[in-house]
Amino acid sequence: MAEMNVKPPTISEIYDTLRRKPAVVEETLAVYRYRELIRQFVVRNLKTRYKRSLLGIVWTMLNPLLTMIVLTLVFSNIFRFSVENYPVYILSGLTAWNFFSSATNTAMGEMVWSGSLLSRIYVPKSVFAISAVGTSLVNLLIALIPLLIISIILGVKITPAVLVMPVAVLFLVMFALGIGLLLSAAAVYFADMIPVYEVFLMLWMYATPIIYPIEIIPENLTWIFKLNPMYYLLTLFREPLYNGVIPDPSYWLIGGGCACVALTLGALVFTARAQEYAYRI
Amino acid sequence: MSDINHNSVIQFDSVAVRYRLPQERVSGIKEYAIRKLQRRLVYRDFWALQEISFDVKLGEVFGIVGQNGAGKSTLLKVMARVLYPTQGRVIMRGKVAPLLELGGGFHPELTGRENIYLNMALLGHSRQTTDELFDSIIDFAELANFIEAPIRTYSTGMTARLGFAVASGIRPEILLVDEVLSVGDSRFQQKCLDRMYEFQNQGTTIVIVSHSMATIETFCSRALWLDKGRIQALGDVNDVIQLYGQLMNPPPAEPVKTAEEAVSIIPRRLPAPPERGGSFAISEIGGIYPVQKILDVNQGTISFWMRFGDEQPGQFAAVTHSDDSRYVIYIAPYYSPHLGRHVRQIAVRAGGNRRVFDTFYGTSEFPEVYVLLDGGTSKHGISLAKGQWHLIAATWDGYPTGMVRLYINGQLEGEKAYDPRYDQGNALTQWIATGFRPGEWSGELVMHEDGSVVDARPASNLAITESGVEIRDVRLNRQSLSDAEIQSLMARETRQANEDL
Repeated sequence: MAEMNVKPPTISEIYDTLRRKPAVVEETLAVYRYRELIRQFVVRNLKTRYKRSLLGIVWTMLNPLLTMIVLTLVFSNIFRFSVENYPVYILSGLTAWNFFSSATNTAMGEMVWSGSLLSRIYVPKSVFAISAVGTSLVNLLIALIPLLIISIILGVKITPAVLVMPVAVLFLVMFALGIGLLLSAAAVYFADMIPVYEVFLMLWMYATPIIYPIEIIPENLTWIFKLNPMYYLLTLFREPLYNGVIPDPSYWLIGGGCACVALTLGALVFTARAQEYAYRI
Repeated sequence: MSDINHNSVIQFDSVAVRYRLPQERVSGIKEYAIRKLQRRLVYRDFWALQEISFDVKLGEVFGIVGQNGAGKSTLLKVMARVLYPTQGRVIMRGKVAPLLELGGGFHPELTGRENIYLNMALLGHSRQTTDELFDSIIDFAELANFIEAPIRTYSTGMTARLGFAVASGIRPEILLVDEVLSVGDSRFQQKCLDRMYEFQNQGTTIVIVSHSMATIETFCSRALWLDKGRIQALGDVNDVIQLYGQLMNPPPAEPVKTAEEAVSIIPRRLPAPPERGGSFAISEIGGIYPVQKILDVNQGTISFWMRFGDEQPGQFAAVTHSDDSRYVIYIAPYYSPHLGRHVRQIAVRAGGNRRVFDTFYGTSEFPEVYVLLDGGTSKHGISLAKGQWHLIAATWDGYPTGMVRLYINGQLEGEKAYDPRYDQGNALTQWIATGFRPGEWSGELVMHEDGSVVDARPASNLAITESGVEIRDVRLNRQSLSDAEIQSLMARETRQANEDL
């Protein structure tokens, strides 16, 4: 029978649960498509944080400054002999650490509280972790201002080495995102993930040479501290500013490696389980 | 699994959705590890959907009907990619826009403007798109003066309007509607419907979920009945609705098979139609008076006394209807989302097949005057108390340019003009049948003037309604009575009723 072969109208997209690309690829494409949402989340986080506060953005800068002042006053008598410009040492370490802790905590928190949204409308699940890292990154960049000012005031020599800091920040972002994704995935299944992680984070912070220099650790125990990925990432961030030198290639290798591994692992684990989250939350 | 059918825009193949709930609450990692080691982790499976297979063609309006908890929202969520199917295959060909739970993505602290941008981003649109559509969105929602205020200051109606405007800002290829037709006032509802009509004309496929039979029946051409997560019926909307309706009412005892059988059920006491003018009573309630020229479409009046109570309403019941359902006076069950329960409405229709969605262009109101029986007072403040007798009168005149009017206790409740756009090009019948059908009747008669039966049609929703509605003293008049005449009718009949009692 002769039939008009009518072509179906061209369709903009097809969702077929049987023919799917690898989960990570799908998620990356979706994240790109929803980039405006990520931007909105970051802006919303910043706005709701500052809209009603008197001090506004100044608070982001003040917070680590105040911590630094307190810690300096408390510890300056213990460490002063071995650490020059101790306030800068602490402040730079704290700035980087705050970025990491707030990024990972927020990533987990947003995921857990996203239930009402996820149960109604589709969004790529990784937008929470990504926007958390983005928000913390903005806060980090803002916190660099007082850091630089204090450094200059206290007479730290700013060398061209600081130009490598963006790379250090990049590694921090990758690492935080990877850990954040892993934590988000776990938090969906385990309700007590958040308080458990907070304790773990505190221990982690003391295990990282932020308040103290690594030199005070006994030689035979140093290797334990060198198992900590944050040690390398923190050093990459701190050294160029504090010491004015570019850290050893080994630090870059290990730091970069940790960042890549964390991000890859986090992305794979998270996206593999992404379709279950709406059932759980 | 079957291959992709290129005519289908939506295709579900043996889809199942399972929630896995731990038998005992596992509160944390430590407990999880312990229990897993002890092999004491026991899950309880809850299958929200099972064996769901159907497809929807391009441009269809597809209905999903079922009681609460049947899985309708779950099914929509699978379509919207909120839930990934546990089993089976889902294919959605085209951009999907959900109208699920309008306003769900709104952040109360942000302004209307900011929320528009947020929600457009939630739907995956770029900032540029939102910029372009912004003005049309606030125009549609009629919120130009409030757009800079925080959403927490909006009324629920305003939020709903904004939600619909944002969600329908760009015409999607597949539109998912979940009971949202009930939000806002009737004028805004009509706006929403008009926009959906437009989309349909441009090729959008629409899926509507409702537990109201009336909604599904009005708008959809095909439907699916879902119960306890499984498909109970799938196909033409009339078939599905009939099966679903039987759930609420026992089916008629013996369906009529032939025209002869049908005629035999009809009580033979037909009134002698008067030569011209005048009025006469129908003495037999529970009979159907075949289509005769007792009444014609050009003018007439019917009045009856009605009393209603608390019981769950039954099926549709026609008091009069023309052969082509252009003129209908009926009592119908209707689910009111505002009241959250079933109510009844009595309605007078001035023309138009129910399948409005397919034929409707432009903006206008559906040509019906109706009153909710369980709502207390009617729109015009006419009191409709339970357990009391009320005089209902309906008049119609001057087809095709005339009006139908609904009177309650002598007061005019409302009037509507006949709208020829609903004609669908069909020839108008001159005959109107009158009466209430007996319970055992499941068909419809088509008869000639001389009383000979031409055809007995099955599959009609018209049946007598017994649940809590009593009718007496049905009176027909071959003329369309005026306001004054209706009032004097009321006075006369009330006086007579008082004398009788």
